[in-house]
Amino acid sequence: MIKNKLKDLTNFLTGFIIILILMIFSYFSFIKIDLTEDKRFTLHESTIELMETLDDVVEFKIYLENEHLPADLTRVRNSILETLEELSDISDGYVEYEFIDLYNTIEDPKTREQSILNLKRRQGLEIVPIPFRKENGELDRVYVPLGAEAFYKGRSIPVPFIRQAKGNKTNTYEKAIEELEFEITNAIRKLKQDSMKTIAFLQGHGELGRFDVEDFSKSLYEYYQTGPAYIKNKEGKEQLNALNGIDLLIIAKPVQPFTQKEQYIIDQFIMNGGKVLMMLEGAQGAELDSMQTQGIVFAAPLETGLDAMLHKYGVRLNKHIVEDLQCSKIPIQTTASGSGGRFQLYSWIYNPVLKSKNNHIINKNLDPVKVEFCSSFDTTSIEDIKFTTLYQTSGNNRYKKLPSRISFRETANEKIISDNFKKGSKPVALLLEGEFGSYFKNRIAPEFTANKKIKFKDVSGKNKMIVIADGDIGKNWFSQRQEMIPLGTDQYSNVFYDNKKFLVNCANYLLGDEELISVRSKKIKMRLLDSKMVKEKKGFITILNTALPIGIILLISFVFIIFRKVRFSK
Amino acid sequence: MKKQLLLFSISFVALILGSYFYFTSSDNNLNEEDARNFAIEEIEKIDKIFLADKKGTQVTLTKENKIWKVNDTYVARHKRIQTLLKTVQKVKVKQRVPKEQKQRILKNLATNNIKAEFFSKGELVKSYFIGSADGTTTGTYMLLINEDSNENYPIPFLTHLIGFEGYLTPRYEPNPNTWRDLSIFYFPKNAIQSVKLDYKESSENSFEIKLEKSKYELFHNNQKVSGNSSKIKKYLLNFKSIAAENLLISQVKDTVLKKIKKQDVWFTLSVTNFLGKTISVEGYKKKMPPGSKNSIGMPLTFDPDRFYGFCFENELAILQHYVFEPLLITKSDLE
Repeated sequence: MIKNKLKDLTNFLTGFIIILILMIFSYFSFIKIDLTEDKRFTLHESTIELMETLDDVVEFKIYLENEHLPADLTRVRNSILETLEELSDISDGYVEYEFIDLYNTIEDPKTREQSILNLKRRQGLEIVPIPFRKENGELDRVYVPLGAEAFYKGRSIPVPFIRQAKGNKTNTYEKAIEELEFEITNAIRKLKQDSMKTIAFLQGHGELGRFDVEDFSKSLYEYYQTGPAYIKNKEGKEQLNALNGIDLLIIAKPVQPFTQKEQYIIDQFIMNGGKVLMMLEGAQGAELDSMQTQGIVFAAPLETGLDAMLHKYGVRLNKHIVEDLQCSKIPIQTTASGSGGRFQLYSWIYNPVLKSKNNHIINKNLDPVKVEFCSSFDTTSIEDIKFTTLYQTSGNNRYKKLPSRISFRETANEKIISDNFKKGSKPVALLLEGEFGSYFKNRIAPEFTANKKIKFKDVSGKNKMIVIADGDIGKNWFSQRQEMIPLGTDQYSNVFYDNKKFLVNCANYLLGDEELISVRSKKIKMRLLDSKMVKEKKGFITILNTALPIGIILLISFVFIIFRKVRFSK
Repeated sequence: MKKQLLLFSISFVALILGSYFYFTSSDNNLNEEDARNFAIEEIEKIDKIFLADKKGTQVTLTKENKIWKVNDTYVARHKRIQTLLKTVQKVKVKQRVPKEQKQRILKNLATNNIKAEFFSKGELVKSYFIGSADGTTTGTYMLLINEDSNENYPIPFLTHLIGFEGYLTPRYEPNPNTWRDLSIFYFPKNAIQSVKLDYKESSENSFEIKLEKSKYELFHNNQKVSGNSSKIKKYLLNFKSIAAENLLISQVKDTVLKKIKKQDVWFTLSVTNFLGKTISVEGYKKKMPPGSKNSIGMPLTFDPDRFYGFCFENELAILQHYVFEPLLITKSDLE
């Protein structure tokens, strides 16, 4: 009897210990089978390639560490750990990491505060206050930097795991987990970069200014040298070598005409392999801020001279304004100013929301982008040029011919009849790849083209450019307190559009840095609870979640008892 | 039953091992952990520190009855020792040395280093070489020595103190003078028996304060004069903490000695405590190079910030006017 009991006890303890051992070893071993649809736990191929090219150790010092981290931040922290563990495995130990709790490491509160502030000011890391209750019941808070520092070959770089974002915390942290792999590999790529490519924003023709493209420019600055470029010198003379040394020229919303010489310089820049990203307007005068003061604007066709060049490359910039039913909303005053000036959000058909065609690495997995008073393109068939439409109008749209009058009242009062919006979709953002013929071929004197000093080229090698029929796609707005509103933010509805990601992808692609896009475009679907359904069926879900597991256990027990009865009754 | 017991025993041992690794493991993944372990956690156990550089300068700091001494002779500066110990406790690897730079840094460390050894009860706890700062002067190259084999590890590291912006080499300075406590007067309230201040060039300003019948009295040329007792008491409080800026090292000292031999002594200040111990300072003005001018263009004969003084039983030191100004008053200031 005692022997049997001892046997049972040994069996039980052995089983218990084996389970414990399995738990402990599962903590150490790193076996992962990614069954998720979006492969959220699988590293991208380019990341693996990057890890295999490391020739020295990359060290990460992660500051997202504190005993008071809330559950959602602990999830982010654990995801960082898992990602780094995996990267370390792939890279044969060339990735090292260390979690640093500044509250444990720096004793002096003033020094600690200063260090945390420095991480914010100098490294740009977000700092989050975490409230907690002390043992004596007092409420206190710790400040934790949401990022890390990466070190490689004596250089260092900040790695923000969570960037400043509006919206709820869950979304922010989900997004952080989603972009973790990108942020880490992005940092490694930047540290590995020996020389930086140069991107210039063309100035001198009323283009978007430094502050207008501040957010876009800042995003590019992470990978490239950025700055303005002027074709004319101080005396107003065009300089043939003005674009030398520039890898990508961004022409953002020029409103004044380009001289023939300037066109020639840009044309030859393209012929010599320079990459161009053009954000052009088909109309002039159509500006939302002008409308806000007058309520009405008169839009006219805009001729800058660049459209003629584009035509030669196979693209025609249509001189019309797109009116699209798939659009964002703006506030329009619905009552007279005297009665308090009530505003209501109205669909504003001049602000189309363009959905990604998801057909190219540039627009893969991107959310929609928002444009304002955009135009569209037509393409002409040119043998050596391949056209890829990246974004186009929805199809439920029409085109307003120019010149034309646009007013709030007319638009708000217009009864939307969808049959009137069936003019078909047209491209708004186009990628052109191939060999471009010079706009100046057969247009200038043979003595000039034959001059060896001039080095005129009438056809480019393999080259690419992107044209967008909207200048405001890269423009960030400013709040009334003069704070920059991140590019792509709809200030009225707080919806975020992927304008910035799209434009940065364009720059990455044009400059041959596709691997940056592929990791950035990794998208994880957030499978959040349907809050409406939860609210409606709260009782049922609660009962189901409580009773179902118990029911299943009871059922198993019942089956087991029956089975034993049947077996031992024999 | 035997089989079950065997399985149970194996499982039990595996559990113990697994638990050990589980509870001792860390979330950090750092290679060459031993070579980067510069910090000593239990600094209170350290009772001897030896610092030496390649030029032969060295210092031994020893703790006796909770008081640190320099080369077993002088009292060490408490704050300086605490700074060193905190550094030793908190020093961390900032980053690895790039592969391409490793040989160069090792070479630099071999030719120009400070060796630091830390002992506890006669046993070597840790030793490492301290090199120069990196380009940003926020990191310090260090190379750890394996205590068991007494050979240095092959990989140097760039170290730092988290939260401190600067390099750490000066904290390991092997010059004994930099470790000495340079306090000259450290008399707490009511511990002074007498103070005598003589100005050679203006003897009318000289005075002496003596404690007579529980009252401090003012004297001039050994004659009692009427003094303001509250002013005298306030004056005596200034002797609480007066220190020299630095001691002059031998080469400079000889040059200065030659110079000040030609000068008259500026003042002699002697303070005697209740135990009859007298501490004296003999001050000499520091001459400025000919043609020196101050910020508004007025000619300067003497350094307005510093002067020389013989203190610590005839050692030559640099003293600051700012520190001594409250002590160098005249008889009339106390009347």
